[in-house]
Amino acid sequence: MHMEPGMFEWVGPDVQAGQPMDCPPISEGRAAFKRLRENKLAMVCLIFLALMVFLSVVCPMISGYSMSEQHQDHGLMPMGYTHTETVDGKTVRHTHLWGTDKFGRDLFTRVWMGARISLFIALAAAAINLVLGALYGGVAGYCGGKVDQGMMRLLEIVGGIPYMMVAILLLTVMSPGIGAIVLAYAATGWMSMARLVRGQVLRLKESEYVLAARAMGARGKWILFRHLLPNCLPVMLVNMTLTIPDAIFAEAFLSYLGLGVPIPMASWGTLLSDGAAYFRTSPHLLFLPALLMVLTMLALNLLGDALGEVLDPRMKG
Amino acid sequence: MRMARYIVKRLLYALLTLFALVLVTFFLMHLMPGDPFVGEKARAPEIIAAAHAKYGLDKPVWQQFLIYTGNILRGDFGESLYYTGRNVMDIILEAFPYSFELGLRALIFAVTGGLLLGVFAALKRGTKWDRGAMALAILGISVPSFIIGYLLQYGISIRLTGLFKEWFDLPRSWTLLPVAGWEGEAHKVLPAFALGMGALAAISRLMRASMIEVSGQDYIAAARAKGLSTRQIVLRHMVRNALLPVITVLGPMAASILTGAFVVENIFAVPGLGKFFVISVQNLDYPMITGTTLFYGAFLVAATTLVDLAYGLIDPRIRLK
Repeated sequence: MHMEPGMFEWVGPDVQAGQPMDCPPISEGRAAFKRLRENKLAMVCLIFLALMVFLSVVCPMISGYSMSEQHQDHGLMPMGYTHTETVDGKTVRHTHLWGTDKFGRDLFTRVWMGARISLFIALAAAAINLVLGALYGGVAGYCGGKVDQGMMRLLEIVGGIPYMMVAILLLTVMSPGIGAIVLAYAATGWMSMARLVRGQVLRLKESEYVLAARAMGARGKWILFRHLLPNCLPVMLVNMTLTIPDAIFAEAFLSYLGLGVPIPMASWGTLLSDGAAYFRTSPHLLFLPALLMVLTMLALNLLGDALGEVLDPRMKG
Repeated sequence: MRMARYIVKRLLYALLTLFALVLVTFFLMHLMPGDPFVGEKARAPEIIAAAHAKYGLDKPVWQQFLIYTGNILRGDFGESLYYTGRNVMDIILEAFPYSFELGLRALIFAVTGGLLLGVFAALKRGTKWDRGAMALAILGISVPSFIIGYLLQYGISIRLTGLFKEWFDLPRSWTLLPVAGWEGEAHKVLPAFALGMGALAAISRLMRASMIEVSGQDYIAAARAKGLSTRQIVLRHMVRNALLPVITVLGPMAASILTGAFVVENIFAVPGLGKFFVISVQNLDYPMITGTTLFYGAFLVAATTLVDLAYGLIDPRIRLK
């Protein structure tokens, strides 16, 4: 670029006047959000996930079929199948956008209904993990000393048990349903969150603001819930984003074993397990729910990675 | 001395974990609705009475727990309710070797593949190779093993095989890789691949991060200043140190591979424990379910403890903590 003296202007001796330094302070959270917005991939994932939630609410409502409605005379139909029949001399036709399953139930409705149920299970399980993990880890980290040692030893002992086996055991004893699956996953999934929160709390409780709060007479409970845990939120958020795909997988795995939501309900797991029986002749019964599930898990994993980078830029590769 | 204390501590934890596991299965057996020995299948009252006496169901709970623990220690998990007349331990011992072989193959595949991919990505950090490898890795952790299994079956054993037959006029029985079964080496490729893919992706991500962490250490700069070749630095200093965090996850990874095998074995008709376990879950065959849980729990706790002990031997910093 060529420069000429005319392009520049004398602003006087007062540098502050020409170049104001009083830009508003940006909080850490807002700065992180700004960095996230600049990450195109993360935004695409976020929009995709919002779309999934929206569609899982809307699609079953507008499809014109219910989740359990059977059409025995046209089961296992391909995508885009239109059924024509004559009722009282009039021709009536209806279309199954994504075909039908073995009982002639509309796959489009069932897949989106399944999305609704699977996403609900995953979110509920992740939320319970968050609360349990934050409480356990928070108390252990804040109390420190013997309490911390005892709680962490207990965690180490219980954490040694393979969690999937415990979830399976729990589900065979409980009556099947959404609540049972959420509970089975949450009973075993909170431990990594507890370890994470404990580490953070141990580090944060040496901060000046905790000292200040204590000097002003704040008690332990106040400090933990008002100061320490809110400051752990970023790491908890990243962990939760990565827990949800885990929970989606666990639901699918357990459903595949036959421990999923009871019929005629649909979840991604039960759809996969039903579709698997016909995957040579009607592969779309398996691959459509599989595709939606994989894309959702992929978006969550990518978003979790991006959140981790945004909140801790040192992690960036 | 420190090492001895470390070993004793690890073994103690392992024992406590096993105890907790036995406690959990015991109480879940008790929470179970109904009587475990009155199933859909008709049983003579004498058999039920004998079973009750064997498990001491008429005695107080703490005595029942002791009897239960004693039976387990003797390897007696009871008789299967579904495969009547067969001892649970016999079924497990017969079927587990297949699962073990499949799991081991998957683990070896995951570890070698994951380490290579992770080191490669770290050395090519920031380039399109790195991004490609990590895109592959995140895809790997996002696709469940059973979906990979069906994709491989459909894509390779059915579609691709069909195309090859059409093009080259091959005999009817020819397949690129068999759809299912467990006879020769060819049968073991797809299941091991499907089962190991997730772990491979996870290891590669961990190894990459670990390599990048190590590459910033002072001793790498020292090695470089000493005039070592890049090859020597990477192999002797970076990879060896970066391996340590990866070793710690091998225990949990073995757990997820072995439990994941339940489903993958079903897809590929492997005659392992998975088939029995799925059937026992669907038929609420409690002795089989708790037996398998205890067996796998003990196996995995042993594996994790071994990994921890090995880790303590390799890295003195761990046992000093």
